[in-house]
Amino acid sequence: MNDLEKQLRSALRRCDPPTGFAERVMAHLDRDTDRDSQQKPASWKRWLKLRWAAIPALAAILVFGFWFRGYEQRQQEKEALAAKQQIMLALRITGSKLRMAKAKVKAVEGERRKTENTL
Amino acid sequence: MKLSADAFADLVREHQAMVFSIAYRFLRDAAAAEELAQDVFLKLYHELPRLESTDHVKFWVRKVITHRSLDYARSAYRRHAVALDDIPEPAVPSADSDPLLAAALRKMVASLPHEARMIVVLRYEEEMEPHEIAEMLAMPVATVKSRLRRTLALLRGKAQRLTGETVR
Repeated sequence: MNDLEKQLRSALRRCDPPTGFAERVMAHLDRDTDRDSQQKPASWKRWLKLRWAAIPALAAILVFGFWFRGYEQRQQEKEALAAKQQIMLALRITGSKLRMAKAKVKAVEGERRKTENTL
Repeated sequence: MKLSADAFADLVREHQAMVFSIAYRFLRDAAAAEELAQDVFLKLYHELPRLESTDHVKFWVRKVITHRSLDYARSAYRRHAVALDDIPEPAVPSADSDPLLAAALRKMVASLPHEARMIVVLRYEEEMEPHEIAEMLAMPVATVKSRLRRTLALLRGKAQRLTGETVR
């Protein structure tokens, strides 16, 4: 070890912190512990308040959900009814057309038979 | 480790000089050193259940104060800047062979770049070996050794210019 290293060891030797350092650390620790213990009930109360605010909000969401589901169902029923009515109308039109065609065919056949009989 | 409040206070007294000195010798700011040292002990209190032995506690506090001091010095938000010449030296048993040279050396060390300064503090205040310093600062041993060599050469040159004598 040379002179410089000896001088550095001497110049940089450990020094004590200001008086009462350990007591200040312990006092700080006590304050932190007290604050933590006081904060726990506060956060519990906050959670309770939030819960009471959350219940109406959740109920409103559920009511809206049920109403929306019913609304969708009613809309689907309306659409299904309209489609059914359209199909029925189409079937009725088709039926009347078929009846008319059948009547014409019968009339044509009746006339042909008359013509054959007279011959 | 689990300790009562009294046992923890004893632990603080046992390590306070080491923790405060690392921060103080590095920062040369007694108020900041005390603030950092207090923070380290408060953190230690919460960390104790995870520490297994007294050696582990010593290693942990030394590592944490080292990194806290480096972070503090690097921080752009350092609010309590104090001129180096204004700092009164804490009371220590007088063992200096040359008090003036010792004071000059402390100022020279304070003017070193952060990592070089911390290496010098850990080497000459804490008597740590280069491999221990390397582990603490997470850098290769060769880097620690080369920085130490360069820093000593620099300090030797400055000391020679100051005293006008050859410093070995």
